[in-house]
Amino acid sequence: MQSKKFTAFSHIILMLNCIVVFVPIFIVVMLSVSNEQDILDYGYKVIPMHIDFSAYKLIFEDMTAVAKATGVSLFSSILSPTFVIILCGTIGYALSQPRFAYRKHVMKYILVTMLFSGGLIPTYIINTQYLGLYNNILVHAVLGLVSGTNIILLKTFFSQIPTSLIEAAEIDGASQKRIFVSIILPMSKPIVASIFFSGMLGHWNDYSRSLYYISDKDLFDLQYFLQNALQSASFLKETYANNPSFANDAIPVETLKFALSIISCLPVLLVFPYIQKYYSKGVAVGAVKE
Amino acid sequence: MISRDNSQVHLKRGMGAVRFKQSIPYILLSLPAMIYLAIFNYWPMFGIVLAFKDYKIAHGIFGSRWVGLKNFEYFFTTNDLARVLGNTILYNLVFLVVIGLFFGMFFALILYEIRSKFFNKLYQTAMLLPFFLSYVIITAITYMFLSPSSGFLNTVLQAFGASPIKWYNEPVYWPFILVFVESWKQAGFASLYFYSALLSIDTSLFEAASLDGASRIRQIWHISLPELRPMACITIIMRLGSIFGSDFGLFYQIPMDQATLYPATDVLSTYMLRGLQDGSFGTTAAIGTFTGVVGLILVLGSNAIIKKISPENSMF
Repeated sequence: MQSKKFTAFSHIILMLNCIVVFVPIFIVVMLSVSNEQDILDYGYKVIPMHIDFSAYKLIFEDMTAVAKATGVSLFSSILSPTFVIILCGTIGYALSQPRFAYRKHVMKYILVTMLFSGGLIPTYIINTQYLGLYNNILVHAVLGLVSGTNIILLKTFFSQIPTSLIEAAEIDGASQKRIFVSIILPMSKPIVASIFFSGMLGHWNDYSRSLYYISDKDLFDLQYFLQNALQSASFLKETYANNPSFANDAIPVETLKFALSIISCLPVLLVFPYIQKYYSKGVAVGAVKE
Repeated sequence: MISRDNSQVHLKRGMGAVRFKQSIPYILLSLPAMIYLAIFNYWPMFGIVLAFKDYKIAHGIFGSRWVGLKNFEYFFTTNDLARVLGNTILYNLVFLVVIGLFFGMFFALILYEIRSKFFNKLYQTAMLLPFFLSYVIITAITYMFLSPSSGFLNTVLQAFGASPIKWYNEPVYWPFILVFVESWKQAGFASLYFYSALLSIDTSLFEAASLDGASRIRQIWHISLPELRPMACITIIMRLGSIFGSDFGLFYQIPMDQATLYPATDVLSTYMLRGLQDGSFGTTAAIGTFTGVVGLILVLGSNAIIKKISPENSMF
C-alpha cells in the first residue's frame, strides 16, 4: 500500500492532538504545586519556580468542606446510575418479552416523554414546590432517572438474549425478578456497564443540580463547590476561614483553585480506562446522550 | 348468527384474560419506571399552563391568574429574542459543521490509518479524555490561558510587545474561544461514530484498490467517505432536530457568566436560567413552551427523514 506518507501525516496530527489535550492538564497539575506569591508576581508558569504543596496541605488539613462536597458527589454518582439500571432495566426487560401483551401501549407512554416535556420552569416548580426537593439531598439522586433512550437501548440488548434461556429458568421455578437479576443483567454486562459508567461520570461532572436546587453550602456537590471556588476568591476564604495553618489573607487562592480541579477530576481519571474499554469497541456509542 | 357472535365475544374476552394474566409479571416490572415518569415527566407537562399565567407561589400553578398570551408578547417584543435565538442557532450550526462533520470525519479517517496498537490506544485516549472532563475543570483550564493578570495568552502577547487583552470583557473573541473549547471537548468523541463505521469496511476493498494503483487519498475518497455518508446524514438531522438545545456548561461556565460577554455567549438555556433566578416564571415558561413546540416539530420531522435513510437509527 502506498499509504506511508498519509500514515505519517496521521501520526503527526494525532500526536499534536495529544499535546493539545495532555499539556493543559499537565499545566493544571504544575500550577497546583506552584508557589502562590510567584503566580501573583510573575503570572502562571508551565514549570513552577518553586514547588509548593501548600494548597494541598490546606485542603487535607481542613478537610470538612471538600469531604462534604465529595460525599454529596459520590452519593449522587453511585446511587443515580444504580437506580437508572433498576428502573430502566426492569421496564426494558418487560418490553423485550413478546408475552407482555401491552408492550406497545407502554412504549407509547414512554415515547410521549421523549417528545414532550414540561420545560424548565414547570419542572422546577413541581420539583421545588410540590415534591420538596429544594435544598434536599435527595435531589442529587432522583432527577432524570428514567429516559426513553436508555430504556430502548436496554430493551434492544435484552431482546437478543435467547428466550430458551428464560423459559428454562421459568420451568425451574424462577420468578421474573430472579430471572432479571441472575440471567438478564449478567448477560448484558457491556450495555449495563456502559450505561452505569456514563451515568456515573455524568453525575460526577454535573453541577446544575446544585445550581438550580441547592443554596445550602453543605449540600453542594464537588463540581459546584469548585465552580464557586473558581469564580470567587471570597468563597474560598470563607470556606477556609477556620483553617489551622494559614491566615485569612495568606490563603493561596490561585493554587487552591487548581489543586481542587485536580482532586475533582481524579475519580474520572480512575474510571476512564473502564469507560474507554466499552467506547473504543463502539458498544456504547449510542448510549450517551449529550 | 347472534349466538355465534356472542361466542366470539366470549372467546375474545377469554383470550384477553389469558393475555392479562400472562402479562401480570411484566406489568409489575414496568410499574416503577411508569410511576416515575408519571411524577417527574407527566406531571410537569400540565405546568405548561404557566406560560399563560401570572405565576404567584402562594396560588400555585393551577390557582394563578390567567393572562393569555402576555408572557409570549413580552419575549417576542424584547431585543433579547434576536440575540438569544440567533446565538443558539448559529452556534449549533457552526458546531454541526466544524465538530459533528469536519473534525468527526477527519479524526476518524486519520485514526483509521494507525495500525500500531499502542499508538492507536494512545491517540484514542487523547481523543476521548476531554469528553469526560467536566466543564468546571475545562473552565479552570481556559481561565489558565485567559486570566487577564496571569494567563498564558497575555504573557505571550506581552512577550511580543502587544498590550494584554481583558478576555473576559471582550465579546468579540468569544465565538472563537467557544468553538475552540467545544472542539477540544467534543471532537474526539464525535469521531467515534465515524470510526466505528470505518471499522466495518471490508479491508479487501482497500487492498484491491491499492493493487490497481489508487493512492491513499483516492481510496479514502472512493471507499471510506461513501461509507461515512449515512452517519453524516444522521448527525446532520439529529443536530438540526435539537437546534434549540445548547450545551449549558459551555455557555454558562466557560465565560464564567460574565454579563459583558452576553452578546456573544447568551443562548436560550443561559437566558432561561436567569429568568428562573429573577423569578420571571411566566416569560421563561413561555419561552420554554415556544421552543418546546418548535423543537417537537423539528424532532418529528428529522425522525421522519432518518426513518427513510436508515430505519435502524430512527427513534420510533
